[in-house]
Amino acid sequence: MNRLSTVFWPVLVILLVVAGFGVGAHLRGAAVNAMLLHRLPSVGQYSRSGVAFEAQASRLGGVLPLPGNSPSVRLAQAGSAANESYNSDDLLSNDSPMATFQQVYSLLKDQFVDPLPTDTQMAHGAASALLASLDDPNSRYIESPERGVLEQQSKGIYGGSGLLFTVRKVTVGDLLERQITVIDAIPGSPAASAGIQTGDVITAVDNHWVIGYDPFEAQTKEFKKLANDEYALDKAITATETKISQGISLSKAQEQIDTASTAPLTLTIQRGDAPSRDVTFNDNTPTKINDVTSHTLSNGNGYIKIAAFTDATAADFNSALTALSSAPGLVIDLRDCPGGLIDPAIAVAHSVAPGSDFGAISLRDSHADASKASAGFGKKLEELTASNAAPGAVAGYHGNIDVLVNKGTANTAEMLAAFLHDRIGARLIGGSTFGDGLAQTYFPLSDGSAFTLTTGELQTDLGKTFNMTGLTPDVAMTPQELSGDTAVAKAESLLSLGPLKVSKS
Amino acid sequence: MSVVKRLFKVAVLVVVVALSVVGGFVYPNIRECLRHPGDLASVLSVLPLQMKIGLSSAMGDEAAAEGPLQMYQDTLYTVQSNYYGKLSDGRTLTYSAIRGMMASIGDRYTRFLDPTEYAKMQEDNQGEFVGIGTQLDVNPQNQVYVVKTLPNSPALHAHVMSGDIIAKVGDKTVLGMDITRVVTMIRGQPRTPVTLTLIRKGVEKPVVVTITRNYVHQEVVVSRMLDPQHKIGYISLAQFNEESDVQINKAMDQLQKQGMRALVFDLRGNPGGLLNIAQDVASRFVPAGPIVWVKEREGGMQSLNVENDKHNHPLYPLAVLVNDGSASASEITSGAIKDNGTGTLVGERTFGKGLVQTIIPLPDKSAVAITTAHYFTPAKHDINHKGIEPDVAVTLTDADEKAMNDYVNNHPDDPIDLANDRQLQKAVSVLIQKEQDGAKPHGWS
Repeated sequence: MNRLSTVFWPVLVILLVVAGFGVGAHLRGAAVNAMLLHRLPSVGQYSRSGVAFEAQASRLGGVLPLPGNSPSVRLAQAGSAANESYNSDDLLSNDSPMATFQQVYSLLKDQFVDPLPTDTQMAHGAASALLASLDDPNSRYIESPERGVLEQQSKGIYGGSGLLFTVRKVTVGDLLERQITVIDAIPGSPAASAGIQTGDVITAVDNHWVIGYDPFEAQTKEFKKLANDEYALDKAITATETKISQGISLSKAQEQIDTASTAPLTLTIQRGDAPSRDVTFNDNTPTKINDVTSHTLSNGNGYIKIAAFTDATAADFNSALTALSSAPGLVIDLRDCPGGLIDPAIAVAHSVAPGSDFGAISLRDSHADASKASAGFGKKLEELTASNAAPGAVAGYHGNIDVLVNKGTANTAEMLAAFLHDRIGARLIGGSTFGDGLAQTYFPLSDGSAFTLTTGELQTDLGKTFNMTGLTPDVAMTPQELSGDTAVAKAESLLSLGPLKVSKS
Repeated sequence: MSVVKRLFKVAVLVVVVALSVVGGFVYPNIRECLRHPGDLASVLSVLPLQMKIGLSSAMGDEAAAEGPLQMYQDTLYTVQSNYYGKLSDGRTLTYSAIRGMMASIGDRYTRFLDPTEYAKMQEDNQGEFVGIGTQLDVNPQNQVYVVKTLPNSPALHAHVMSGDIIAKVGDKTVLGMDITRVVTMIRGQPRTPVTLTLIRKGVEKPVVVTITRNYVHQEVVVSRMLDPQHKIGYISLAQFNEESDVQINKAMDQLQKQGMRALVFDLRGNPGGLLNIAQDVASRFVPAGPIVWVKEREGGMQSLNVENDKHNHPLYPLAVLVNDGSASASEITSGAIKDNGTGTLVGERTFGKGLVQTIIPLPDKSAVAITTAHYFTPAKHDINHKGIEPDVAVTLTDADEKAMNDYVNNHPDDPIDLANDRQLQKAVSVLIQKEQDGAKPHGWS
C-alpha cells in the first residue's frame, strides 16, 4: 500500500502536467495565427465571373455595373428603423456581420505593413462594393466630382460631354452584356454637335474597351475545351487577363463621360451594325438648356417643348401654358426629353389638369415578409401627388392636346405622356418611347460623395408600366419625318381629330 | 487536519494543471524569447488574435475607433430599406463590402476569406483531407478518371487503379459532371463508406468498390534517382504546407539509401505556402545563419534562422530549378541557398513576391489575410516585384512547353520528362560538372 501511494502521486502529477501541456498547446493551435505566403489562385485555375470583376475593381479602384445618369430622382425618403444596434464593446467577440466588418478594419489598422488609405477611402470602397453587388446598373456609388455634375443637371446645366445615358442589359449571343446606351445628347452640347444620337452605344473610352461583360465568362466554352491542355489553358487565361487590364470598368467609364475630366476625351460610338467611330471632346464647357420653350403656331395653336424636368420647369411650364390658355389646341413636344426630376412632371400634369391623379410608384415595403412575395420582396404602392405645385394660379387647359414623342422620350417624360394620353385623351404621335420606367433616389453623403439607388418603378394611373417596353404612339411617323421640320406641323394637323376616348380607372 | 491536508493536495494539483495548460499555451513564445532575448515585440507577435486586441485596448490604443463602420452601416440600412430589387442577406452584402474595403488598399494579397474559402485554405495548408486518396483529372470525353492512387490510401487498399473512369458515386451517375462536384461527392466524414462504380480498361463489367473514407495526406513531393550513373537525385516540391518537410525528409532518406551524390531540387511552379515550413525546408540546404529577414511595420529586421535539427542528411551538391511560377516561400528557400552559395539556381527569374501575410481567423469562421511584413534574403536583398535571377539561365520556348505538356498528358504517373525538359537537363549537367570539379556530399560543420 505504501509503495503504491509513493508511486501514485508522482505519476499522477506527471500525467496531469503532460495532459495540461497538451491542452494548452491545443488551445493555442485553435487560436492559430499562421504566417502565410501565398500567391493568388495559381495559373491552373481561371476566374469565375464575379472574381474577374473583383480583380478589375481592385486594379482601377472603381466598381462595376453602374447606372445611367438620367435620373428620375425624388428626394430621399427616410430609411426605416435600424434592424439591430451595435454596441462597440460587443464587436470584438461578436460573430455578426457588422462585428466582422469592424474586426477586419481593426486588424488592418493594427497590422498592415504599409500605410493604409484614409478611413473615408476605405468607407467608399465598402459602400461601392455593396452597391456593385446589387448587380443593378442604375444603383451605384458616385464620387464628388461626378456628384457635382449630376446635381447641376437638376438645374438644366449639363457638364461633361452633354450625353445622358443609361446602362442596359442586352443579350448578345450567349452573354448578357451591359451597354452604356445614349438616351439623349443635350441640344447645343458637344455630343449633339458630334451627331451622337439616342440608342448609340459607347463601347470604349480613350480606347479602353468598356468592360460590359466578364471576359472569363465569355471564354467558358473555350476554357472547357482546353481543360486537358494545361499549357494552352494557361496561355488563354493570360490573354484574357491582359484583355481585362486593357479595359475600363463601367463605373469609371460613366464617371469619365459625365465629367469629361480628362479633356480631350475620346469616345468610341457604336450605332447598330455600322462600323464604330471615335468622337473626341476637347471642350468641357457646360451646356445650359432651356427646359421649357413655347410659341404660337401658324393656325393659332400653342406649342410647348419640354427639354428636361428641372427645378424651374413647373413654374416655366405654368407660365407658358397661361400665355397659351386661349389657344384652341396644344402640341406638347417631349421628343428627346430624357426625364429628370419627378415633382416638376407631376406639377406640369397638375397645371394641365388640376386635381387629376398622376400615377403611382411601386416601392420596396421594408416591413413586408419577403418570403411571401412572389417577385422576391414586398412591395407597396405610393400615389404620386404634386408636392411642388407651380406658384400662383394653376392654368388648367381644356383644348385638344397632341404629344410628340420619340425614342429619346424617357422616364418622367414617358410618365407625363402616359398621363396626358390616359387622362386627357391626348394623342401620342411619333415613335415608341425609350422605356425607362425605374425611379432612382439620390442619396448625398456628408463627405461630398453620393450614391443612387433604384428605389421604385413608375406606374401610370391605370396601373400601366413601361420599363423596357416604352409607350407606343397612336400615330406613327417615320424617323425622317419625326426629326424633320414637318413633324410639328403634322402633330398640329392631327389636333382637329379631337381627343381620344379616355378610359376611367 | 487530514481535511486540510487533502484540500492542500487538491489545490496543489489544480495549480499544477493550470500551470501546465498555460505552459502549453505559451511554450512557443518562450522558445521565441530564448531565440531573441530582450525582444518584446517578437514575443508579442506570436500571441493569438483575441489576446492581441485585448492588449491593445489595455494599452489605451485607439485602434478600436469607428472608422468606416458608421458610414457603411448607414449605407447598408438605406439599401435594405429602399432598394427596389432582390437583396441578398445581410451577411452576403457585408462580405461584399468588406472585400470592397480591402480592395481599396490596392494590395492583392491583403484580402478577405469567407468561411468556405478559409476552410479550403486551412485544408490546403494542412496537406490533409478526408477522402479516399485518388488524384483525379478529366479526359477529353469529359469523364473524371483516376490519375493515380496515393500511397497508403483507402483507394489503394481497395485496389482502385490508374486509368479507372468514375461512372457512379453511390447511386448517382457522374459521367460528364464537373470534377469539383465529383470530388465533393467522394469526400466526406472519416470512417464513412463511399461506393464507386468504375469503368476499367480491359474489364467488361463495371467494377464496384466500397471504400471507407479516412484522413489522406496530400502528396506534395515527387522524388527519384534521376541519373543512376552519376547518382543524381531529384526532388520536386509542389507547395509549402504541413506535409512538405516531412515528405522531403522521407525522400532524402530514400535517396541517401540509394547512394545519392547530388540533388536537383525543383521549385518550378511552386507558389509558396507557410513561412515556418520554408524555414524547415531551407534549413536542409543552408549551414547556418538567417534563412530570411522579416520586417513588420513596427520594429526592425528579425531573422528566422537555420534549424540544426534539419541537418540529418549530408549537404549535397545542389541545383535548384526555378521559374516565374516560383513564388514566396520558394523564393525564400532559393534565395537562402543562393546567398549562402550552397546551390546553383537554374531556370528563369522567380515571381517576385517579398511579402508575408498573416492569416487571422475571425469569430464568424471567416478570416483575413493581411500583409504584415516585408521579407528579405539573407543578404538583405528585397526581391519584391524583382524576383531572383538564376545563376544559369535557361528559358523554355513555347515548343518546349508544348512538348512537355504532351508528355505529362501521356504519362500522368511519371511527370519527369528528361528528354524534353531543357532546364532539368541543364541542372543535371551543372551537377555533373560540379562533381568533376571535386564537389561531393559532406557533413555539416
